[in-house]
Amino acid sequence: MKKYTLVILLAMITGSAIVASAQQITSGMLGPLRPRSIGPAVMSGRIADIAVVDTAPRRFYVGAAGGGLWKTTTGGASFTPVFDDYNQSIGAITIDQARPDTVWVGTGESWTRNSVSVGDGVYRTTDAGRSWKRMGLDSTERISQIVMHPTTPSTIYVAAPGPLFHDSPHRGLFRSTDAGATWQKILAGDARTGCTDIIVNKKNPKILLASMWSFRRTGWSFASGGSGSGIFRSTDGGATWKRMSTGLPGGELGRIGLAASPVDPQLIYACVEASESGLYRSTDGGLTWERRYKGGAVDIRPFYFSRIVCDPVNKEVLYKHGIQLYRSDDGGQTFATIAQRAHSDHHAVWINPANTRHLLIGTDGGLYASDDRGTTVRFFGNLPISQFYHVRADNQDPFMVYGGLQDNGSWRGPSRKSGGIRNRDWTTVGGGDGFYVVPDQTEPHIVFWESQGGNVVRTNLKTMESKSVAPTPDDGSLKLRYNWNTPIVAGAAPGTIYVGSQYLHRTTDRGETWTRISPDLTTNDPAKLKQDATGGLTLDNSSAENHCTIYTVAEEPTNANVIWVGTDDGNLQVTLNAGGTWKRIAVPDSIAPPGTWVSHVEPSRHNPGTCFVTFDAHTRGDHRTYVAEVSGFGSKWRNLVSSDMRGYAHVVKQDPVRSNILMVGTEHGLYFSLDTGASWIMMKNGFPPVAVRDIDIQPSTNAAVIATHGRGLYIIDNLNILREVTPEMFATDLTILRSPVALRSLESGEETWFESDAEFRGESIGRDTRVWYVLRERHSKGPFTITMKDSTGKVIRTIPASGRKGLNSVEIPIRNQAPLTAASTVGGAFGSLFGPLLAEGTYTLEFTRLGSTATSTLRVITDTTLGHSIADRQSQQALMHELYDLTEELAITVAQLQQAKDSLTVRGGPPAVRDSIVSLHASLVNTKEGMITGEEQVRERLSSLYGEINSYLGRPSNSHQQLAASLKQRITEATRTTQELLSGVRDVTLPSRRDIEIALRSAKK
Amino acid sequence: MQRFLLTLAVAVFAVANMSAITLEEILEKNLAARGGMAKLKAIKTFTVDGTMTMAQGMDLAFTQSMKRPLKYRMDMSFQGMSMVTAFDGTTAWSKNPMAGNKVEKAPESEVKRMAEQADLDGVLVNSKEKGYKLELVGSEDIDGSTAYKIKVTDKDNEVSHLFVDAVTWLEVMWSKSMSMMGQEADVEILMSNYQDVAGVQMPMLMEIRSEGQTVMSMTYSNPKVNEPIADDRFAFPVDAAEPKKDDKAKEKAATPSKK
Repeated sequence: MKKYTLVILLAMITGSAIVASAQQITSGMLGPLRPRSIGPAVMSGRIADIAVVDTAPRRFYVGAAGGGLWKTTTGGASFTPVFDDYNQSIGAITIDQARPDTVWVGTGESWTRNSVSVGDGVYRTTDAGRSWKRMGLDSTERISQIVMHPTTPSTIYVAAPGPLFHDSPHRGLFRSTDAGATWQKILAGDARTGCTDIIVNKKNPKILLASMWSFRRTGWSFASGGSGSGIFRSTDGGATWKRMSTGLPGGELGRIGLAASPVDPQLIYACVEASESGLYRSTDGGLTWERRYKGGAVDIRPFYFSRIVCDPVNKEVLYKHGIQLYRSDDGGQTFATIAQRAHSDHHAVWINPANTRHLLIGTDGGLYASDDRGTTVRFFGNLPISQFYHVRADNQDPFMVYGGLQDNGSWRGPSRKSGGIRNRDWTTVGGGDGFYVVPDQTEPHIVFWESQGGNVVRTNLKTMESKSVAPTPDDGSLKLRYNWNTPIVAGAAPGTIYVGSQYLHRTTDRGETWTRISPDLTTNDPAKLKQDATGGLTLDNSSAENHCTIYTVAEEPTNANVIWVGTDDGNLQVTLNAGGTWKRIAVPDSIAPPGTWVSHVEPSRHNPGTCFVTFDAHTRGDHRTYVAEVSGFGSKWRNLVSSDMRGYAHVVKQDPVRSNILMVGTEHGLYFSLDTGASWIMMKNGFPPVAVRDIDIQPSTNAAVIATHGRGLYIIDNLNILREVTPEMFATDLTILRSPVALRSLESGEETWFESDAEFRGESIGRDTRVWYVLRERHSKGPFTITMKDSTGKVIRTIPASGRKGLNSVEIPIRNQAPLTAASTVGGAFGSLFGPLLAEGTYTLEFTRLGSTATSTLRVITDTTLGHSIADRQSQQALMHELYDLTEELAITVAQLQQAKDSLTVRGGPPAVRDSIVSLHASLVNTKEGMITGEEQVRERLSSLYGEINSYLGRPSNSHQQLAASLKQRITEATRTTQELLSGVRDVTLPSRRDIEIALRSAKK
Repeated sequence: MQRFLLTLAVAVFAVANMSAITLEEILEKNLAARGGMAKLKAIKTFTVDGTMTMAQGMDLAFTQSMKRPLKYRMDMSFQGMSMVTAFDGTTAWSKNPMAGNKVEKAPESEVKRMAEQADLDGVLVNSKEKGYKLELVGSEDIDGSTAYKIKVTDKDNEVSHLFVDAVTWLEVMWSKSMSMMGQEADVEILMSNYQDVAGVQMPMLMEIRSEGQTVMSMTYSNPKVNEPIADDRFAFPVDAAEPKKDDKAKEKAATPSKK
């Protein structure tokens, strides 16, 4: 029996290993380490779909290619991300127009460019995006359309092109008749053929028209088209299908966009990719077709642009996506280019059914609206869905960040700015698709950047003059192969830059001369070098498929002779003599499958010969995370992946200060480890599960800058706190981290102007002084406070503490309490709202909780950057002190007068005395009712002066001093007169001045 | 060893039970943790002082009063001016010296918010009668510890989420959409520093967060239960055009609080 019990217990224990093991630190336990989003939204990012509530067009949803789902209820004046707990790649959005709080979202963008992300199924909300439920089709990876049955809302059709890089049965046309509880595949193709478009006939919903698409990417090629592609029709609700061919081109077909006119369900338009692509029209519901057009509007990149949108009112009008947006007013015979001032590459158009001049347009560069059918457009500058590939931070104060984006060039912007980081704070550095942007170490206005395929340029941001400085073939026979995303990496020595083709190139003179410092480091596999034939039916050689190239390069931080290189075809190479000789390091199968794309190399600053490496196998259909540490220059490997990590890996960083801290960016989020990769914490704390492509650590500010491919840049400001945290702290009742040092400084006035809601404002960071501590458990019962005392033990203030389990952060105001201020029933004395800054010195912070106390200190030091002399600072502090006391003296005098006035009104008294009291009171504080009275008595003037002196830490001006002296005289006199007047009151007992002061001070607490 | 295993087994069972919990059980445990229905219902009036702490250490003192059924009043004083917001069960009104100092009726949207404030019992008690639909939608890590997430749909179909701590069974967070500066914004109201008040656990600290950052916290003190409060303290003043200075206002005028 005993044995039996033991077995059961053991079974239970193994089944709950996680429960029994030591407590895992979670993102929530590090809550105050919250990445802040700095955007920007100036260039925004790729939009895959738009859905609008027809009856209330101010309510709409925008689906980003990699930046989640955004909702507006204000016509786009403001947007809220409503999908931040889920997959950030949106393929399709469909609103149940009869019940518009119900919205279906298909994840996984279907515009299958090389950098496209991966979805994980269909989701539904029934409360307009407040909450979501995952509804299945998890493995489809890409969804292009969701269509509801016109009369039966529980019947839904989902067109899933499916996986891009591998064979899969998880593609085709799916139908649910139970609102998503179960799905049936009603139209299937082969393992590489999925469904892109579906039309349900509005008058006879049994008639369905679907287009199937055969397609495939590898790391080095793309193919659109195949025997499975075509237009299929069903007249029995999807039970049986017939391929349509009458009037359509013969031979293999590629991607086909379908759209039915909302006016006439028999009228169907199709853009058909074929050996000669064309725009086709059917007037019999898809049975027979007629070619209406051939040319640029349909030839261009069908995998990226095959979508037609029909005008809701005029059946001859249709819109076609492309690099430009096209409109035909004659049923598809001719096309005009519209929205010419919008960003190129159009993926979504919505036409207002109630006013067909009104359009919403989604592009590679964000969202636009038009009120004149696309003649002119307005940009929405409030969607921070920018898709960065890389980021670098410089050493300026505040540091600037640099990065390149998908189809949106290269940019530079500030890491902090009072009042927030606005779109206008960003400077464009260069065009094309942007990737690495590398500032010169000594002159950060000299910037290296590139456009796709290795076009490296050096730009002087002061003069905006640019010079092409890409390495070129060093003899006539060599052709350089540059990756789409070519590495440009700075070495430790100023002026040193590395660029990778199939060779590694180095310059030490800012790109004037290049030295090739390696042989071909790739596999140079001829089978993977046929880019001039890539694209399938439509040739598409943009450099996006360039392969057998160097993809990642890094110098060892402590030894510039050691350089690590990773290639897209799976080679990991290292040189110990600055490129003299190279060694290819064998990657064990237990670390990554053979030949897997090396996505990042990160040599350790702490251990020579050690490098952290990420591998990305997604171009072979393998989405697993591969992160490893290799040491001894390749002799020893350690796998760093835990089973809960999701997404193929793009980047790994080791903290330059603490070797135990690692960060990894994958396609689905940011992970960090405090134990050198033994366990990983997924960053949440307001950070969506977005693709993290790059991380840079800015050494002087201890900030990590995160480049996301869909949500712009984020900054984690407090790596120094993370460096102090140990697992033991989470098992200790209360641990106060390092004592804060406060700069005796004023945050420069927030730059406020009348910003509208319609511009994104990136979050900046103030100079708040914060105290950090770790709690073992959530504090839920009883008071928990932090009391600040000066060196004499006098209490300055008591602040509510925060009681999170784990890490906490509380702002400590470095000001004295505001002074007692005279009362007025008609207006505020806003100048004396805040107390003076604390004097330089050491203060005690006393934590009181559950009857026990713990203390820490806070040091307030001078901000020498302000440049005020000691004498000037002292004169400001002295005047501040004087004005503080005067403010309090006036408050007590006014309270005395008020009390006397009230008592005499109630109980009577000598009218002359009462009149004198009333008139003295009226000369000290404002008494006129009204919002703009212009009245300014002693209280109001004193308050203004107090505020002015309190907001400048240098010497007060002579005028200030004079005004202070005259106010002092007025107040001293008023106090004296008050005593005289009150001593004349005999019949009524009045509280003493001292009593009044005590009452005022206690009311303040 | 045996004892160790036993402890472990109990722990494992506790966790296993956690995953199978129903909404009803959570509501039951929450009510018990708060002190039970009888204790809660015994509170007829409730008055508490408070301090609102904002950026740079700016503090504002206030007093909050509630009376069954659904009466609420908040008095705030600032440099001698008094600001009132109140609700008598039907009408919400305010008097704000910064906005002309006239008694004004609040718009419908505000009425709803005030009615929520005035509810001494909270959303989770008698939710059905109050027109709320509750759903248990899972559990989440809130500030480092696990809490059950309850979706609250009110009678206007507005959705918010209440989180109940899986250890103390007290409410720890209410995440909802609030109107801020004319814009809808998602805020999180964190509740902590619970204190026994007449046998009922009341949160004495409320922290308001927006986008993860604390924008304001309210510390409560000096709670008083069942002190008589006249109904007219909550009612829209009869002669609103010429509001009578009540005694309280006079008192405040004579003893201005700081700032």
